[in-house]
Amino acid sequence: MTEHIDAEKQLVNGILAGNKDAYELFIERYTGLVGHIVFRMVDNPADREDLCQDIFIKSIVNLKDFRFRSQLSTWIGRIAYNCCINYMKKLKLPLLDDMNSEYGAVEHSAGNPAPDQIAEFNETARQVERSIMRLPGLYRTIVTLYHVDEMSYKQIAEIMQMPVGTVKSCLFRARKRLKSLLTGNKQFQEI
Amino acid sequence: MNHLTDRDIQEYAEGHGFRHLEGDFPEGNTKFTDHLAVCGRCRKEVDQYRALFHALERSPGWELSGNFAKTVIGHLPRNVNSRRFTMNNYSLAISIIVIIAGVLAYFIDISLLLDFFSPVFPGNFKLNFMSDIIAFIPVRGKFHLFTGGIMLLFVAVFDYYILQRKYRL
Repeated sequence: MTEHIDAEKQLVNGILAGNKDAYELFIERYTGLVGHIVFRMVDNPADREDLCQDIFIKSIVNLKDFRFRSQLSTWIGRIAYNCCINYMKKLKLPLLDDMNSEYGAVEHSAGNPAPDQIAEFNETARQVERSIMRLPGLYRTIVTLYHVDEMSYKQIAEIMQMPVGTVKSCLFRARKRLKSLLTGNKQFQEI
Repeated sequence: MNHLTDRDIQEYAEGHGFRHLEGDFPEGNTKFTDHLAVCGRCRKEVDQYRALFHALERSPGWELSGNFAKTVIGHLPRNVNSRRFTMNNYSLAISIIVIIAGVLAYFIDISLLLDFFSPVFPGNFKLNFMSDIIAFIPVRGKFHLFTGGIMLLFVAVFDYYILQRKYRL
């Protein structure tokens, strides 16, 4: 943990000293996180890269105000989330819009899945991706930060400036909706 | 038969096989395992959630342009890391100037100061005009200038260390 903080401090000091390599390392290290937030919240592909650029510029410019009271990833995640929220507000896009309820009911049948069936399910990642894109932006982001970026509830709560309980509720609701959406997927139903 | 709730099922699915996830399912809790041993419906739901979690671990498909980092660095403003005179610095500076002005107005005979700076001004008009204004300010008013400065300073410090701190990571 201390090593992690030291590495972050070293990176921040490098950027504050104007080291170009530190800039590149910073961008490279956090492109994944920023990209996940932006690509989950912003639907328009033309705006995504510009928004990512703005987020990194804002992060680097404001880095001297970072106090190491949280992880650097949480701090950048919050900037990314706030930028996306501002973008959505500007375009009057809903953050938590109603979903189209095309998904069918879950059919229940007894039986354990075989490991190969679970492996088969991995091939349906594209359907999962499509289903995720049918969730509201807020749910998409929480699901991605939790499952892909492996962030804790606390970190997500700090990024999204909401209580941990709300993050948990949103995550559970999002996954329930996802599962319902995916029950239309043949492979998923077979499990 | 009472089935497990969806939340219980998700917690269970998270707690078994997804170590990095934070499922609240406690180890050794037999309430769920006993139920799952006899309930095919709940078991199926657990398996569906497990499959979903596996699928979710895949990174979403997206990519930025190859020279993204260089573009960002190219767009950075010059002197990006120089210490800027921020809003906090401005409020602190104003407070201190007001306090100094208050002290001067209260303790020092301003006419002496004006005489001292008289070579700076081209004519007597400005000096007379300023002397009239200063003479017009009552002693209590000068004292208010000082206390006003103290209050401004207090507000600036309170804002920076108490209010802004809440939102600073």
